[in-house]
Amino acid sequence: MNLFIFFLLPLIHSLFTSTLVLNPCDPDYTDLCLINSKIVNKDDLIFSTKLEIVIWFTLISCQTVNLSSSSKITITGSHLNASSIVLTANYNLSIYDSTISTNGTIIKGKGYTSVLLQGFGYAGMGSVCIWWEELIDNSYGPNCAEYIELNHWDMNDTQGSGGIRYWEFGGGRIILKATKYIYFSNSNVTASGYPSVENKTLCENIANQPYSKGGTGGFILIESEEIRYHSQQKTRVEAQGGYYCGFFNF
Amino acid sequence: MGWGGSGGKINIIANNADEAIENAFMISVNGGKNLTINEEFCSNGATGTLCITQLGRKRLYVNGSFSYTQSPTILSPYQLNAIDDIYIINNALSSFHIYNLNEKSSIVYQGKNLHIENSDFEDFVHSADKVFFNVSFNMINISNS
Repeated sequence: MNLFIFFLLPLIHSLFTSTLVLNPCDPDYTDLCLINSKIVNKDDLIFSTKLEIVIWFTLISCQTVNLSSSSKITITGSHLNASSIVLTANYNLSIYDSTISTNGTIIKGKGYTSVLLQGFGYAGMGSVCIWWEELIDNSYGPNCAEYIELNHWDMNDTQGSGGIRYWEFGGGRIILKATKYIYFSNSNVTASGYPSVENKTLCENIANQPYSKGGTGGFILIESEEIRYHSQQKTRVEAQGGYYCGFFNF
Repeated sequence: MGWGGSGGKINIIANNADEAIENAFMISVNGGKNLTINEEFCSNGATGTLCITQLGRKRLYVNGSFSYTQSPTILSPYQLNAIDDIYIINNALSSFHIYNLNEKSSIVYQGKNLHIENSDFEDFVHSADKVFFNVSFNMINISNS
């Protein structure tokens, strides 16, 4: 009993305290939510804080990224990759020299299917459908794009390619919202379907796949009272469809 | 057979959206190209759409869709209701549909302005009954450069 009180209890306490201190977004311990170390996994990165969020020269690659700040979000020199990226700031959102990129890789949840030639996808979500007359609810594909207010969706909805073939991935979803303004400088905001024409090696590898289709371009929403920008450093905002690089092959 | 993927959707909502599109962004919603030589059975993807909302007025651009008829940009009536101006540019007509989810609906959508630029208006007239369900436009503006 004495051993527990004098040795183990302080150890347990220190471990618990350390965990709290290490949380970069805990307002009791810091006034800034700083993310400057690499986060790469297949899980969701979702949190909401009243602090300013600063993403500084790092890589974030997850299934979905959903960050919300009651203050500001500043992203500098970083790469954010996911199926869905939602960034919401109550004051301003600033993006410098960074890449925010999604593709519709879904590994779970709404929209997932393992059926090869029939898939799920609202506009910009990328999937596969054969003829548009066959459309049923929620079953639109790369040839069947629908304009729809995806920003009104549940933020936890997943989306993306309905097929299992990675070269048909759709563009995913990017939502950037700030109450006051969003600042852009020399960045890329891309939600393009697969494959990209730049990826010639990928094209060569899948050239003999039958019924191949490029994935649908994604959905990008940029919403704020004002958009500010560096006039000499434009930002690419892209939601292109994926290329078809196979051959006719019944 | 195969197709390039359709372009996606980009929504820009800001009081200075026009200025930002001109000066801040390089925007692309192109459909994916078919890179093969077998054009008969393979097609480019349809161009996506750009939606701009500035000072409470919403405009939808359907621009230069490629020719494949299975690649429509589909607009359902309740989505149409939120849009004030529709721009169909560079022969996007064949790929633009308003898809009535309930064909028995007698709702008439009014107060929309339709702008057709550099497109084949003859083709539009022939297909108008099928394309637009119960929609009457305030104004149709046609311009070809």
